[in-house]
Amino acid sequence: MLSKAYILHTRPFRENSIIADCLVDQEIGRVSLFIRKGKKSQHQALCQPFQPLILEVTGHGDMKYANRLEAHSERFSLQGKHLFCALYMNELICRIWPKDFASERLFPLYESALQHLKQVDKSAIEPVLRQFEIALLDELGLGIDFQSANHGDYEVKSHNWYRFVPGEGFFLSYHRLRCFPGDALLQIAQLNFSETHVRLAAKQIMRLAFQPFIGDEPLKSRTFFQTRT
Amino acid sequence: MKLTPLVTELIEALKCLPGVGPKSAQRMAFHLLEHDRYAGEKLGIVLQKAMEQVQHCQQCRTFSETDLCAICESPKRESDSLCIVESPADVVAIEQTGQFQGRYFVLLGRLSPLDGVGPADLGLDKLEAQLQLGQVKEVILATNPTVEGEATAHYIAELCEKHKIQATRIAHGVPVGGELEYVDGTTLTHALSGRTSILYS
Repeated sequence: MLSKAYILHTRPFRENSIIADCLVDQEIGRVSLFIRKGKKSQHQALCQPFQPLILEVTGHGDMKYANRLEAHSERFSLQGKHLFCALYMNELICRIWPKDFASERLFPLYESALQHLKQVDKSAIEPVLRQFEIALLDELGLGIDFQSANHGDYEVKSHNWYRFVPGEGFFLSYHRLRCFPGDALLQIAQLNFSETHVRLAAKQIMRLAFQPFIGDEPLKSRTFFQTRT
Repeated sequence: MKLTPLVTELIEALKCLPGVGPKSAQRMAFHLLEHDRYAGEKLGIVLQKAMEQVQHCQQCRTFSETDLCAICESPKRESDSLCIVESPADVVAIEQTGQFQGRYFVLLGRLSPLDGVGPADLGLDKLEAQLQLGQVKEVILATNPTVEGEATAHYIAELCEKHKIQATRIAHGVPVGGELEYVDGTTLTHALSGRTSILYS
């Protein structure tokens, strides 16, 4: 059966093959696939990230192969910050999404994030990433409830401040140190990132939420954004 | 047949070369031992000397036996244009064209988050120090046309912008002797958007 797929990352395997970390549609999710390298430049261009592909997954267990590899449509031509963000998405998936963990929603989520990245200008990149991160956590079963605190005991109020504990959620706080304003949380719940302080809070909350999965080795793609500092 | 420990070790050692598996390594080892002992000894001596003496040029990071490589030391090379490449092999390829008279900077890799390579691993602090000197007027980004190569080019272009230096990217196009039918869509798109007029003189 043919499936749509994206290559997230490749590494060489022997002289004429690669092992590609792929995201495949139709409940397959993230898998490692052996791909035999073709000699034509056309094949090398296909085996690049952000190229929509059609392929057939064969084999069982750890030895899965990609056959009948073809381009599905034109490659997402991303430049500059947009490209860095797309690479960040790839790194995030590879670091936190378990291999062979089937998912119906992961592929469309990734594809729509790429489509949005292609369309938006530099200033609107952040909301695309935050929406992707929030949806990714939801899909992993670790969704954050931005509208209630203290394990659902309280509703989040816009004038209060809240502390975020990864895996547990928000807790009402009587100080502001390392806490987030309630109005920002309510706007994040509505996926409204128009205000600067909401974008900043969302970024910090997402970093905290992913921290337990990422561990001590920070995401390399984050360092790409530091040239102007 | 059980091989002697030294022959086994030689075969194992030869397997470190790219494209050399157990069969090829055994063939190479037997060839040297059976037919060409002199070449084998010479290979061993040269290999050891090269591993000890070949370092990286302190300015451009390509392979060099001295502090500065021949290109960096040459007064004939233009110091206002700097070509950024991923590997020493790319320097050789560009030098063979004879079209570039400037200097190089070799990254020895490309930005690849999933391989654990970030800006700090590519010697970009050295590059930035060179850009700060103010001699370089144009940086030619000749990283490979892969997603990682593009990301690297964009990252360095931002550094250049910070130092008000012009950054240019090498063109993408159809290979000579190639057939349009077999060229990938992305290359064709680049080739079409970068088309040039034919001038009749």
